[in-house]
Amino acid sequence: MTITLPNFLSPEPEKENPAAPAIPLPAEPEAAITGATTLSKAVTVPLGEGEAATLSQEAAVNESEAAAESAVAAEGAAWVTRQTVVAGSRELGLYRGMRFIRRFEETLLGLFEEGILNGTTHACIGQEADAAGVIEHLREGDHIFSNHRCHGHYLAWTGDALGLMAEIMGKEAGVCAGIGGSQHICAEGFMSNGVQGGILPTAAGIALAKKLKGEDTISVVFMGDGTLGEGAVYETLNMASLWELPLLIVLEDNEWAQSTPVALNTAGSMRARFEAFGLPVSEVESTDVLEISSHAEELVEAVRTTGKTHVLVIHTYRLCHHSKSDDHRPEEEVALRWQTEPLAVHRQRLAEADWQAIDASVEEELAGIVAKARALP
Amino acid sequence: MIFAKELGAALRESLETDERVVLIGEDIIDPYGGAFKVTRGLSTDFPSRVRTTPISEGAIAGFSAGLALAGMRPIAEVMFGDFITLCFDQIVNHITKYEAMYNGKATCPAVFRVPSGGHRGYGPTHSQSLEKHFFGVPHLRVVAASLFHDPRDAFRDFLSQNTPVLYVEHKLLYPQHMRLAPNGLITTREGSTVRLSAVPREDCTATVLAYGYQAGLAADIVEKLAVEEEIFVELLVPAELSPMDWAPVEVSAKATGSLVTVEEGTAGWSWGTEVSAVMSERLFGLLRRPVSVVASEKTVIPSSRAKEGRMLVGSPQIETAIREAAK
Repeated sequence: MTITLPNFLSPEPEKENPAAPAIPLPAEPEAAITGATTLSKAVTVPLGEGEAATLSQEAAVNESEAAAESAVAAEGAAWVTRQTVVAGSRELGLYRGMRFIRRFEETLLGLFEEGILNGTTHACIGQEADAAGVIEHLREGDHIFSNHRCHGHYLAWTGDALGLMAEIMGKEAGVCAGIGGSQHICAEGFMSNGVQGGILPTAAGIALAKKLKGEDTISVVFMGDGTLGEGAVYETLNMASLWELPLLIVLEDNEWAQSTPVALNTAGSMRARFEAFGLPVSEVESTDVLEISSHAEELVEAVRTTGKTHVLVIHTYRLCHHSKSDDHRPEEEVALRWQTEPLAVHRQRLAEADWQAIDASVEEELAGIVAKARALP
Repeated sequence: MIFAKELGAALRESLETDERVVLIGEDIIDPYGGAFKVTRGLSTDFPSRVRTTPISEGAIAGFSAGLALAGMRPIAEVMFGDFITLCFDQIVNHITKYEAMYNGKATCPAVFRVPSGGHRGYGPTHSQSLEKHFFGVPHLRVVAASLFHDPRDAFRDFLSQNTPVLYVEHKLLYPQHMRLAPNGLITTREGSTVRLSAVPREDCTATVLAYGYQAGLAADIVEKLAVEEEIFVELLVPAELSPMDWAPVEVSAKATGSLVTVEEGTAGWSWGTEVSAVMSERLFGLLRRPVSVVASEKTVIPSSRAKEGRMLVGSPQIETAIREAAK
């Protein structure tokens, strides 16, 4: 009945040595089923009639017998293995979460080039710390509304990489049966929509519902700097403030709205736009997950205790193109920002062996997810 | 039994019987009670669930979306139906998308009440019948109020299902008496379509399809022509405009051999043209004349009483079309 919070953000203490070579332990079938059930509350990854076929292909794809064995129940239960890798360490957990999002997005870009994917995608490469740092503080019953650049938020909240991969591949087993695709995702406590602006009043409406029902949970909406151009945003700020709604607005300012720099889009002060409506703002210019997380923790707590709308402005940077092959930004500018990308920043705190082990396990897990997703009907 | 009061009673019943119901809109709280007084008294009894908003139709629609996604039952009042354009993004790209694009993992049963229509001299931007822009939007129901349909039935139905609804209320209905059992005409019901005629269908020479305020005008003409000139036609008044329940129309027009549609919206790409297209396909060769589509002139709605009267569909245009179709 309960949904599982992102496990990499709250790893359970385990006896495994985090520095040990990252060999994903084949989950016990029962444990895997539990994992799948909790994760798939609203994130059903049905195998259905294609199950047998999937499994036989699976066996061909995976050389490891153990992997094939656990694959039946472990659809969507990737976190079960993840937990063992990041055992007991929040910092390693955050690193793994961000690394996983990064590699998931890079893998998607590769799959596009390979011609496997239909449509488009918007990678959040460079902004992984926002998803990890904010969502770390959310709990069951909270609701996230995300936008076109939603994969990181989705993965951080649900951990359902296979469901998302299958969705983007247009498979029936995708989280929305391949109808929503990259930008239109729904799971327990999570929704995204690709039209800018309109998600703000929607998230506020969800917050209003929480208030009317007397729930103690909150609504969170992620928006980008480009969305500050939409009028619906300001109608929402006004009403959310007037009505004192339990809403956290996370503005990810990545400096570029598609091809347009923020300087050509946004007059005056971002912060002042929110403050004009009487909304408390916390502003952070950082790609450091711990720094972002500490701001987010404070604000999430403030929204919970006061029931009022708060705003977190994160000044960050999008390291890749807006969607695909549409980057005309100065190369030097982008190169400079790669030096402070979230993984590099956070790695400085970690033992090399630890993050390398995590990197290896992420590769292995992702390879398994891609193989499974490819094999799905 | 005045329509506005019956509608207010339907909203009160909704609030009383369903704790998920939230009324949201501009100026809807007491003592004002809405621009057309439909919600008067409700905020006093349900202060947290009857919420007056700033002049922010986009947010009214967006908040409704969020409420509905979170399991509530928002009923939004768009003060003048003309302002529904400011909700268009929410309705087309958000509210009607969610259930389908999330493969049924969410529903968004928001209801929009749109006081529409002219004949009151409010001019180009406060008199329109804009529902034509919403006909055919996938996963949206467009439902028209009329004097022949009890609004309680409508709202009971809206609250018992999950499809978003645009509920069109012609402003001239508000002060009128309900005609749930009109004198002089035989009234029967097929689903949400009301059938009115002075004589049995076999003796009718045309079918008239009209909704909302125009349905009342058409009923008067049907009765007058029957009594005064023994011209017999059958009037169909649907509540559901999109998607349509085609069966009653098809059966009736097949029997009478002639069909007229009536709407107050502007001509072209309209409800009537869709009816005409569908019936041409279903009844090809079975009608003795082309479907006649009565709609308003394709221009702005003048404020001048005389000019407005000429431009908008009213009794004269309806009568002329019925006489022609009944031949």
